[in-house]
Amino acid sequence: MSALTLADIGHRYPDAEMSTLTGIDVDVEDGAMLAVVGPSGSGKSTLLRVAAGLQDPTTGTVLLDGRDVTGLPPEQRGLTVMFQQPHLFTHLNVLDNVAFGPRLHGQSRRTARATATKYLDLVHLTALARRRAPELSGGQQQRVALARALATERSVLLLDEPFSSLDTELRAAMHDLLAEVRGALSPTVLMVTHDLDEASLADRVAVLVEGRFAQVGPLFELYARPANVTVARLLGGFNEVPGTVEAGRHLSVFGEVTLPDACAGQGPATLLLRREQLRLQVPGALGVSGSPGAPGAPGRIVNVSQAGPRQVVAVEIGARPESGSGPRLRVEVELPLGQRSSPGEHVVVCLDPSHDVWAVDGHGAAPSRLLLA
Amino acid sequence: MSALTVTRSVRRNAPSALVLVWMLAPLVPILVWGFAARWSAPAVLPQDWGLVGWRQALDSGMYAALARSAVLGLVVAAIATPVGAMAGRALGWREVSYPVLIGLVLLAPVVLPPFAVSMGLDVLLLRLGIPETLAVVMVLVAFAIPYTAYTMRASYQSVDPEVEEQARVLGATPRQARTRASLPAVRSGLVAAFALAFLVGWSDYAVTLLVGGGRLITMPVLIGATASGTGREPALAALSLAAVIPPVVALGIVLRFARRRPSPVSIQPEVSP
Repeated sequence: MSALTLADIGHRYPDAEMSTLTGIDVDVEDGAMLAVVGPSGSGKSTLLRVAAGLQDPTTGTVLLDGRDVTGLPPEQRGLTVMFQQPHLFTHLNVLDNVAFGPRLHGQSRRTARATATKYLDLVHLTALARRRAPELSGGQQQRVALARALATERSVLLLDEPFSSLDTELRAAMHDLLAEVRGALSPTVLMVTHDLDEASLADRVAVLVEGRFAQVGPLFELYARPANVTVARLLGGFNEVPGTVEAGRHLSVFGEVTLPDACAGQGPATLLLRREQLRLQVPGALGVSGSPGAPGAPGRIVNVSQAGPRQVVAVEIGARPESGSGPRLRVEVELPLGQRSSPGEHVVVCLDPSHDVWAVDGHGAAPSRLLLA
Repeated sequence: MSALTVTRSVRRNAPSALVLVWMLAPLVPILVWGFAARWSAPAVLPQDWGLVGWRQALDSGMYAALARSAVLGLVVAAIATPVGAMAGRALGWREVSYPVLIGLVLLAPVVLPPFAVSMGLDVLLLRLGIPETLAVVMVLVAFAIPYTAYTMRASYQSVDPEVEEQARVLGATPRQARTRASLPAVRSGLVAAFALAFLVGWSDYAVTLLVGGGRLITMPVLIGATASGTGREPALAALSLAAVIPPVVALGIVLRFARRRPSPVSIQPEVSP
């Protein structure tokens, strides 16, 4: 049984023209973690607030362990939330902040503090138990907030961009801690975030676009087979190559590219190529233009940037008459370690045959139907 | 101690000392008068010292007036503080429509001349048959609410409303979220608001005299009556000194809580060590 089920959830603010959420259906299995990613204003936080009972849905139901909790207030739902800000209670010390939930659930002060100590130990902050909240650093405050949420001993934990205020290093430390907590307690987790690194902690990722789930699945699957151009753009690092599909092949500036069996259909389609799927070669080199299995397109490097130790080059590719696409296409290519290029160089952009390719129907920004059989 | 250290110490403490002198200077003459038996011009100091002023003050009903003022101040504070807290929360957390209009309505009793308001309300309250003491309390509460509401508005503005939602998702009912999460966060504001409302009740003269019909003898009314006579400077000084003590105590309490005021906790981007 799913620990948390959101069934056909819809939400619209009074007097708003558009719905914030539409037809949200998702199950989070017991002990699993689902990350909801999406651009600002996509409805992520509203979704979490609806699940928590802080906002009522316009339509749909929220089930916790099969129990309909849609009309229940937050305190009766059996879940807890950790917000972006820790909201530690400034009149209490760290220990009593963590003991706040157990005290509300009827534990004596002594028992609640014993419970709090256990969870403070889990987040490695026992030594700071007597400190006041304002005396803690940002990372320590978020650890206390996590311990306080866990100390309620509720089975479902909702995380609302919990680590986005922290710097990169502290965020990485909190990611490790969350993984540790999941290993120790196996809570069911629903996390909303705009950080794909954070989303990678989850078992599955749901992409929320304009209040609807555009795709739900493991992150690697999203990267391998984005449902549409919008999802690909949100994930980042994709080149969009317009063209047409005929008999399982995509025709574009790259020539004919054979699509996997999962892609089907006919007509206009966008080939989605990750920048590490492309290779650069100098014109005339062996196995480049025209060689079978390695479609290529000539172009000129217009920009070079650095992504960690590797160069990322932007190449402007000229149109091929048979592709029927616009006159120029700009693609980004991540070069292998050690390979270096300069702006102005004439190159051939080739597809690395060791990678699968993926195409979705339609062109442009509008969400499009996945070309799945 | 080096000369440099002394100079730094003087520079550091000079502003506080000047403020103290500014506040205490008006009290020096009444302090002297309070213990003078005879002090005729142009003498710089009294010719005779004594407690005649205090005896006269006690004879005029100082204890009863002190008690009435204290009770009046406490009752006004006890009503105006929670009302102001609710108004301040609604204004500070934008829980109401037209907050500017509501803010202006709350300010009206302070903006309008108290004598005019008192006279107008006196007529109205008399027609309604409301007992004088109750009428005084009602009017003073109306005068105190702007102070409590605006103090609490500032307090609530410094606290994120999400703190109550945080408490709710930890298992608190709406009432528990208020009493255990948000109210403790505005505790210093509550103390300041209570002290201000108490002072409104404690120090009022016009409303108590006009609406109370001269039958509710509080410290300001007694001081006013004493001041209207001649040759009663020692008694007037003793009454004034007695009347100063509660406000000073209230100020001390406010300052003590102001120093302990918890700062709102929010994460600022920080650099890990």
